[in-house]
Amino acid sequence: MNPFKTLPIRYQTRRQALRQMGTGLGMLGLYGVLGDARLLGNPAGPSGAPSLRASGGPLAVRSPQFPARAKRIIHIYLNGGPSQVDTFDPKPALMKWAGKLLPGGNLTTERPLGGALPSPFNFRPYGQSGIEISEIFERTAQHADDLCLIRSMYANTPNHEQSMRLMNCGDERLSRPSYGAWITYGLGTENENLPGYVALCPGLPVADVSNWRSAFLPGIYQGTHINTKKTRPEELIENIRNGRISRLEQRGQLDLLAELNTEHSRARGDDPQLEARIQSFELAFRMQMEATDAFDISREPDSVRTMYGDTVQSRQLLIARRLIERGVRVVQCYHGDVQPWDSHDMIESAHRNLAGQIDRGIGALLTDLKQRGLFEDTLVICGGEFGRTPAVEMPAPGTPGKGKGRDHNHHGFTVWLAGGGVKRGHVYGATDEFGFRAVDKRVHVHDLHATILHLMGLHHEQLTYRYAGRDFRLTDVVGEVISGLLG
Amino acid sequence: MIPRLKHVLALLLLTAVFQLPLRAAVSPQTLPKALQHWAFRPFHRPPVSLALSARSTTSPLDAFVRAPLLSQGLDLSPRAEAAVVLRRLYYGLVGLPPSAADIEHFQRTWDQSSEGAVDGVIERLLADPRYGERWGRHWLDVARYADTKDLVLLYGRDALRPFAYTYRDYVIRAFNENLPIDQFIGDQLAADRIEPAVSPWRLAALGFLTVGRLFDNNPHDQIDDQIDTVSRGLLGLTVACARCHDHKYDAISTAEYYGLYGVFASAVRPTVLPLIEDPASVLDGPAFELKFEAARRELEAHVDAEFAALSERFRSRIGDYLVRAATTSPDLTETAQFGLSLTPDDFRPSLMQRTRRFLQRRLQSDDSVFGPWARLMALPDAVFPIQPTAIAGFLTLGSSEPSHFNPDIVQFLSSRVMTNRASLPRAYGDLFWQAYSQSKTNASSQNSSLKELVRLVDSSEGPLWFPRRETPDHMSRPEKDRYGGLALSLDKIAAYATNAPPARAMVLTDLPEPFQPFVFIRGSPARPGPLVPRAFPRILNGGRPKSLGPSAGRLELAQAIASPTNPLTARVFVNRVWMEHFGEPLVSTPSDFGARSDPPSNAPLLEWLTAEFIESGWNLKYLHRILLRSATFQQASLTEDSQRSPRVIAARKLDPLNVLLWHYPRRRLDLEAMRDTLLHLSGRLQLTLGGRPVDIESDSLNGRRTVYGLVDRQNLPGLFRSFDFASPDQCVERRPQTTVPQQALFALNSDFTAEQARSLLSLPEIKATLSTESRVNALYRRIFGRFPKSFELTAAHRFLESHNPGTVALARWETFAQALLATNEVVFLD
Repeated sequence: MNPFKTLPIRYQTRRQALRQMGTGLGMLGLYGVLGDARLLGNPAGPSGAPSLRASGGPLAVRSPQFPARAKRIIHIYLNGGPSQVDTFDPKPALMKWAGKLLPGGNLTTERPLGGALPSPFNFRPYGQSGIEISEIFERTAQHADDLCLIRSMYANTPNHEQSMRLMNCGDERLSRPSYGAWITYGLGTENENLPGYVALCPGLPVADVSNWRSAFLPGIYQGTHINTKKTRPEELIENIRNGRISRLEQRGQLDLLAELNTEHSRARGDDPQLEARIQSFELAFRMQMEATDAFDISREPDSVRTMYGDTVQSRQLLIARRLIERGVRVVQCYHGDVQPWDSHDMIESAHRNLAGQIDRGIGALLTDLKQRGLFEDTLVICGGEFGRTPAVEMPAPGTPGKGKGRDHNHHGFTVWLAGGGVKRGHVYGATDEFGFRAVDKRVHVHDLHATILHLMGLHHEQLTYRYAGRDFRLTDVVGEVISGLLG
Repeated sequence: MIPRLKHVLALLLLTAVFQLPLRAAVSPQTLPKALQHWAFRPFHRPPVSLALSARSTTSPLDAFVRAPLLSQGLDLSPRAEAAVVLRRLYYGLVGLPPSAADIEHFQRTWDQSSEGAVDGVIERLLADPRYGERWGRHWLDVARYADTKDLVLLYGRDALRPFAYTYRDYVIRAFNENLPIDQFIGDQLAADRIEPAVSPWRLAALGFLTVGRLFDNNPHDQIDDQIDTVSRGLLGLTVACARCHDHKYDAISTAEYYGLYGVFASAVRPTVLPLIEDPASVLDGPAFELKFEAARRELEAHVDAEFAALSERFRSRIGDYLVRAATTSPDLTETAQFGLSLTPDDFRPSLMQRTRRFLQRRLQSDDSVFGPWARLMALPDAVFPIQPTAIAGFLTLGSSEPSHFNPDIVQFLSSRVMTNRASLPRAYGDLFWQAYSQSKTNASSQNSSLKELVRLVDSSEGPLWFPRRETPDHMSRPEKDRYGGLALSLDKIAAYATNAPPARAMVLTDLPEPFQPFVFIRGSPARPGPLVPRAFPRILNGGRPKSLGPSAGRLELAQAIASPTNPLTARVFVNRVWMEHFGEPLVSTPSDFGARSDPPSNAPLLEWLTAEFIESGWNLKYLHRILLRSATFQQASLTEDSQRSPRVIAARKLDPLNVLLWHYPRRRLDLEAMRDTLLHLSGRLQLTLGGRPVDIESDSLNGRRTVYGLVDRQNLPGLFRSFDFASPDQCVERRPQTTVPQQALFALNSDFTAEQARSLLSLPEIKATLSTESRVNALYRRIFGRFPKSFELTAAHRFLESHNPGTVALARWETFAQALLATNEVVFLD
C-alpha cells in the first residue's frame, strides 16, 4: 500500500502548507516546486520517508537515511580511459619485460596486443604516506596524503559506451538512471535556484546524455548538461536571461502576472498547483541572478583564477566549486568531447598533454576546498570509465594504434577518492605485477556506487524506485559498501 | 528392448529439462491462483441497474461513479459553467482552446439544450483532423516514439531515422479515421502479414516495433525492448521481467519470455524499406529514387563480396573452431553482449557459440559423423597416444553389426596418431576441409559419405554457416566501418534531401525460416538453455498453453492480443483513455495490471466501459462520447465558494485524493497543449498535417503543432524535458507533472514566447483597436475568450501607463501580452 496516499497535499492551501511546515519564506520556495502527489507518493521512495513527507517538492532537501559523511560530489571524469600504469599505479616490472610478451599472456581486450610497454613517466613517492604517483600528476600528488586511491577497480567490458554507462548508471546498455539522478532523487538539492545535478563538459562525452539521464526517474532528476565550450554565463543555461527588457521592467511584469494569478487562484480556493506555479515564477526570477553568478568565474579573484589555471578543464573545476558552494548536489566535470583520454597511440605525448590540461586544476581544487572548509564534506571522485593495457596495442587494420599506445582495459584500473568521509593517504587494493588485472581487494563499479551512496548517507539496497512492476536500484542486485575506503 | 528403454529414459529426461523453466514459476498450484487476480479474469458486464440511484443520471457511466460516492454520503459536484465544459471538450479532444466566438455560440446553444450543445461540439471536434494529432501524441508516449537513432557519435541529421515520421503519421491518421483499436493494434504488430493486404499507409504501423532504441546494435536488447513495449504498452503486463529469471510476481516464466523472443527474433528490419508512396506523385521523387537505388546497390555489392569472402574464410578455419569449442570454455570474446572490433583472424563470437551448440547436439556416440570422436574421447587418459591401427580396431571391434559410422571418418581417423584428446577435433577439421576442397573441383565424383562431410562445411547443417543478412556482424573492423558508412548513407540521402523523399515504412519482415527460440540462462545468449516453443503467455489464455503456430507467429500474436477474449488488452486501453480525460487512471499503474498493481479505483466502471468498448467494435470515438457526455466529466472543479460548502468539507475528509471523483480535477496543460495554445492565440499556428519532423526547439518562428517537432532521443531538447515530455527511451505509461522554474524561465525569457506576444499584437483585430481599453479588451477576448473584469482593467492601465501616461509603446504592450500568455488561466484546465 502506498504510504503517501493519505497525504492530501493537493488539497492544502498554501497557507495551510506553510503552517504545517512551520517555516517561513525559505520553505515557500521548496513548496513552490511542488511535484505531483504521485511523485511524492512513490511507495518505494527513500526510507527517509518522514522527511520526504514533510517537504514539498521533488528537489526539496530530504534527510539522508543515516548520517552522511559527504553532502555533495565533484566527479572529475577523465573520460576515454586514463592509463593506470602511467598515472596512479606504478609498475616497474614492465621495464624488465619491455617489448616482450608478458608472462601469463595478455588478457582479452578490444584489440590485439603485443609485448609489455613500460611507462615513459617517472613515479616518485609523495607526502608522509609515500604514495607513488606519476610526474604528469605532480600537482595532484601534492595532496597525496589526502587521497584514497583504489588501485583495484574493474568493470565488465573494454568498450567506451558500455563502460561509461556502467560507471554512471550501473548498467551497460539498458536505460537506467545515473547515480547523480539517484542521489538527487534521494536527497534533493540544497539550492533550488540551481539544478541539483550538473554535468559540465566541453562538448559531449561518448554515450552523451545517457551518462546523466534520469531514465524512469522523473525528468527533474536528470543531470543538466552545460557545454563549457561556451564561456558566457548566460549562454550556459537555457532562457536564463531576457535580452529584451530590463530587470526592473521584468519585475513589473512579474508583479502584474502575480496580481492576475493571485486573483485567479483565490477564486479557485488557493489550489496548491496554482500556488506552486505562481511561486515558480518568483524562483525563476531569482534564479536568473543566482545561476548566472554561479557560472561566472570572472567574479573570482585573480589569485584564485591563477591558481586553477586557464584551461577549459580547470575552468570547469572552478565552476564546480562555485556550484557545490551554492548547494548543488552532484557536479561532474568531463574532461572533454567524446573520449579524450583514449590514447591508443603515442601514449607519452597524449597522456602528458591531457594531464597537463587538468593537473593544475585538480591541485587547485583540492587546496581551494580545504581553504574553504568544504573538503571534509565534499566527495571528490577522479577516474575514467576504465584503464588501459600495460601491453602495447598492435598496429592492425582498422585499429588506431601505431605501436606506441595502449588498448582499453576493464580488468584493472585506478579511481581515486578524496574528502567526504574517505581514508586519507591510503591505497586500497592492487593490480597484478604488471597492472593488467585487479587482483587484491577487487572493487567493481557496483561496489564503488554502493560506497558513494553510503558516503552520502543512502543505503544502496534501500534507495529504490518502483518501475514497470519492479523496485529498481542503482546497484541492481549486487554491489557492496567497501568499508576499507571509509575514513 | 534395452536400447528402447534407454531411448524412453532419455526422452523423459529431455522432457523434464524442457519443462523446468515452465514449472519454476507457473506450477500447477500457482497458475490457477494467479488467474484469480482481477485483471486476468474474463470480463463481465456489470448490470447498470445495480449502480443506479434514486436521482436520475445522464448516463450509465455516472451511475457507476455515483454508486460508491452515494454509499459514503457524497455525490458528484454540480455541473461546471458552459465555458469551462467547452474548454475541457476542446483540450480533451483536439488539444487547443475554443475561440471567444466558439464560446459565445456554445453558450447560446447550451442555454437551449446543453446535451445538444455538447453533442454538437463532440461530433465537430471528433471530425477535426486536430483530433488525431492530439490523440496520436498520447499513443506515441506508449510507443516510445523518437525521430532519431541512438547510435553513438551520430548527431544532427546524421542521427535521423528519415522515415520514422511515417509511423507518427500512421498513428494520427488511424485515430482520425477511427480505425477500430483491435485493427490498430494488429497493424502495429503485423501489418505486413495481414490477409488480404492492407493499404500501403498502414504498413507504417510497424514503426511500433522499429522506432525504439538500437542499444549499440545489440539484437537481444532490441528484442527485449519490443517485448517490453508490446507487453506493457498493449497488455499492461511486465513480461520483460522474465528475461533473466521467472517473473517474481506474475505467472510469467522465462520460457514464456523466450517464447515471445522467438516471435520477434524471427523478423528483421530490412536494409531497404518498402515504399508506401508513389515516387511519381512526390516532388523530385523519381530523381531521388535513382540516387537512393545507386546507394543501395553499392551497399549490397559490399555485402555480397564480404558474404562470399567471409563464408570461405570461416570454412577454411573449421578445424580451429572445432578445437577451440572442444577444448576451452567460453571467454569474454564469446559472451560479450556488444560488438567487438574484429580482425580477420578473430573467432566470430556467434559462430563460436553456434559451434558449441552444434557439438553439444552432434557429439554423441551414435552420431554417424561424430560418434567415433565421442567414443574415443570417452577413453581414459592413459590410452593416449593411440596408434592408427588401434583406432581402427576400437571403432570396428566389439560390434557384430555393420558400423553405421561414416566410412570416410573411420578411414581418416585410422590413418592418424591421436596424441591426445585435442587431436580429435583437429583431425575432423582437416578431413572436413579436404572433403570441401575436393568438392569445389570435383564434386560429381564424391560419394555420399564424402558429401555428408561437405555438407557440414558448406550448408546450413554445419557449424560455421551463416545467412547473408548476418554478414555485417562478422565483418572485420575496416569492412564493418565501410558497411556502417554505406548503410548510414542510405538514411542520410533521405535525411538531407531538400524535398521530402517518397515515404517508406519502417517495417519488419519475417525470416524465411522462423527462429527456434531457446532460453538464455540468466539472460545470457552465451548460456543456451532448453528449446521453447513460440507461444503466448498462458496467463492470458486461461492458463492453457497457446502455440503461435508453425510460422513466425507475429500475426497470431497480434490476434491473441487484440482479441475480445484477452482479459487485458481492452481494459488497458480503456484505462489509458480514461486517464487522458480525467487526469488519474482507474488503475493507477496503466502499464502494469499484474499482481503488484492496485485494483481499479472503480472496478465495475472499468468493466462496464470495457464491455461497451468491445461491443462497439473497439470504437474509440464511441468511447470518447460516453466519457465526455457524462455528468462526471462535466462536473465543476473546486472553487473558492465550493470549498466552504459542507459538501466539500465532508468530501475532503472522506476522500482527500478525489479517487471517487467528487469533483473534476484541475490540471496543467502538457507541453503540446501549452505550446500549441500559444501559437493558436498568436495566430501563428500552422495547420499542416503530417510530414517530416520540424525544428521547434531553436526555430522560434516555427508554427507547426508540437507533435511534429523533432524528437531527438539522443538529446531531448530542454523545452521537452522541462515540460515533462515522455521519455522516448521506453514505453511511458504516464508523464510526470512537475512545476519547475525552468518552465517559468521559458515563459518569461524564451524567444518563442516573445515571438507569440509580438505576433498577437499584430493581429488585425488587436492592431485595429484605438484606445488602451479597447486593446486590452481585444487581448482578453483573444486570450481568455472573455472581457476583462474591472480589477484586471485597472491593473492593465496601471501597468501599461506607468512609464508614459497616455501613450503606450509597443514594447510595453508586448511585455503586457506576454504576461497574459503566462497566466495560470491560460495554462490550467479547470
